[in-house]
Amino acid sequence: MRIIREDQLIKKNEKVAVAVSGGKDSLTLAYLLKKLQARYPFQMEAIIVDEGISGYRAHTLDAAKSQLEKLEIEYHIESFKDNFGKTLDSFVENNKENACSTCGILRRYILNKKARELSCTKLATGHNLDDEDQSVIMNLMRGDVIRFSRGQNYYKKISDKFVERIKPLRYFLEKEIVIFALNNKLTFDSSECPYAEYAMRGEVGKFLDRMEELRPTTKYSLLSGYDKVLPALNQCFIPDSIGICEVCGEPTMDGTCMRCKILEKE
Amino acid sequence: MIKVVFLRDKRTVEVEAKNVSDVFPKLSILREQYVVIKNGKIVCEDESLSDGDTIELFTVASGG
Repeated sequence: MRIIREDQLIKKNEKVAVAVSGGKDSLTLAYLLKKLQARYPFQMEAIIVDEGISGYRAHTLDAAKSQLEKLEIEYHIESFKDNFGKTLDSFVENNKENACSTCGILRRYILNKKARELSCTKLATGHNLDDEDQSVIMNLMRGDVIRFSRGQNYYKKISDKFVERIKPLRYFLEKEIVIFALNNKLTFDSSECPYAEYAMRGEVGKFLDRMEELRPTTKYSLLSGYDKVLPALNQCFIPDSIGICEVCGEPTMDGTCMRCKILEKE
Repeated sequence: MIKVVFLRDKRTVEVEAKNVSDVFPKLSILREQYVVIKNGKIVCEDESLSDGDTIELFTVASGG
């Protein structure tokens, strides 16, 4: 919560959308923000995205709804099926290796659009230290300098259509969040997405776990060092403004946004 | 012997260990990837173990 205060992640009376999946990270974030709300005035609503993943999403949705109701946080459920006409399972039926990137693009689109519709000025996500480190390594390994250069707590404001994202838990280890969620008896789902086995993220995560074991504090040092070079990366690689998608009108670096490119292929 | 229960897949194995930190190398698993629970409480790695004890391993990674 010190991070929220010192970095001014949430300003007084601001309206915040919290992205909730039903896992320990997003529900810990919702729990902590609710606690903070008792002594700091801001509004909050939750957005749950139902991607349509059979054998997985139903019970994570139940956990999300149950914990949010206990916390008395209003929530909105948005599905891939309603927004794009298809579930994630259908999108990646013949291309499971692309499940995580397809899911990420479509989910971020929904979260941003819904947060804007709700007049929220911040979108809070439950990314933890492990998530952040994995992204740093993955983006570097892919040579994706744009993504590599925009991983900070705030994304640089490059479009009025982007709701600013905040990640208050990005300095907490995934293991610390599990311990917090268990100790505070939060209702959360602890299963793994069936598409996780196809993702590069899992392999990078295992590498970082091994490094942390060999050299404790590796994970923290990696993110801390990365944050120090971010202002320079931002200046070099992130444009001051971007265009809008010629198909849907949402912000994009290219002429057509990634969401529309995915939908175009269908 | 110590009974070790992996909570995610309900798998059970037995291992000889004097404390929690002995368990990880013996099972070739990483301590970063599990939270250890004994008698319903989360325990640290220096927690002593006695013959006949049961510990549960809660898998840290979840979601996508």
